[in-house]
Amino acid sequence: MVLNDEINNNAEAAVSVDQNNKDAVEEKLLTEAYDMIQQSVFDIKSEMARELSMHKIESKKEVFAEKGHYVDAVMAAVKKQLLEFKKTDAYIEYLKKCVAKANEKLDGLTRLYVSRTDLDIMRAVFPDIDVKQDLRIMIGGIIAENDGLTMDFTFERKLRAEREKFEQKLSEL
Amino acid sequence: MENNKDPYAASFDQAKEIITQTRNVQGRYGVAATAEIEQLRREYIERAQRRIDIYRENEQEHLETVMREMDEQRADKLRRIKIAYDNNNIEWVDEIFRNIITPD
Repeated sequence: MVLNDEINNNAEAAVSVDQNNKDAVEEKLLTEAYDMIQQSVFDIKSEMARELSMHKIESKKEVFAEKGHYVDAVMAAVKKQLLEFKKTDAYIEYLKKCVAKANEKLDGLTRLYVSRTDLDIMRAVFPDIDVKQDLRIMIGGIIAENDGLTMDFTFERKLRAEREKFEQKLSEL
Repeated sequence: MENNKDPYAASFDQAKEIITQTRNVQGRYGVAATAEIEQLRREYIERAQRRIDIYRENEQEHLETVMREMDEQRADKLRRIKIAYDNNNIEWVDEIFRNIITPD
């Protein structure tokens, strides 16, 4: 009788241990599946974010390039007008105004820098000022100097500034 | 013959029998459990994979929608810039030109 009980107890114990193991294994499998899902979700999110980011960059590049064409076209037309303007007396008047302004702001002038094409005319108009050629000035305008201080009235500088303003304006459309 | 067996010897035999039976039970459960675990693992992995596939499909769909909207916005922006350019480029050129030839 005692021995029969022993058999039953052992069998029950074996079943109980097995059930506990089964629960533990099931829990482990669930965790594995959960981890697998979590990892895949992370990978998918990263992959999609990367793809979206690349698409955004390509999109911005395209808009930037297209805007660049319009900016280039406008600035080329402005440059053409400036070159025409240089052929007129109004340009000389403009240069005189720039010199007067620089003279006032810098409290005198020791030197003027101009483009090669403006050298002779500027020397003729301002015989008392040392006029030199500056290779950086390709289109027109002047750089005025007094005791190491300078003021830049070149078309190049103004074109750069206007271009930035214009690019900003197009971005806001 | 059995009835005449030494009671201690009989108990010993019975104990051996218990151990054998218990081992057999454990062995059977062990084999069954291994197959069951494998089956369970396959089911969980399949279910997890199905969820992952659904998630990927939804995310892909969402991504395509976002990219489509982005493309539409870009096309719209380019259209607006072109219209603005066509309508205003002469004014823009004149305005910039005037700004440049005005001493600062």
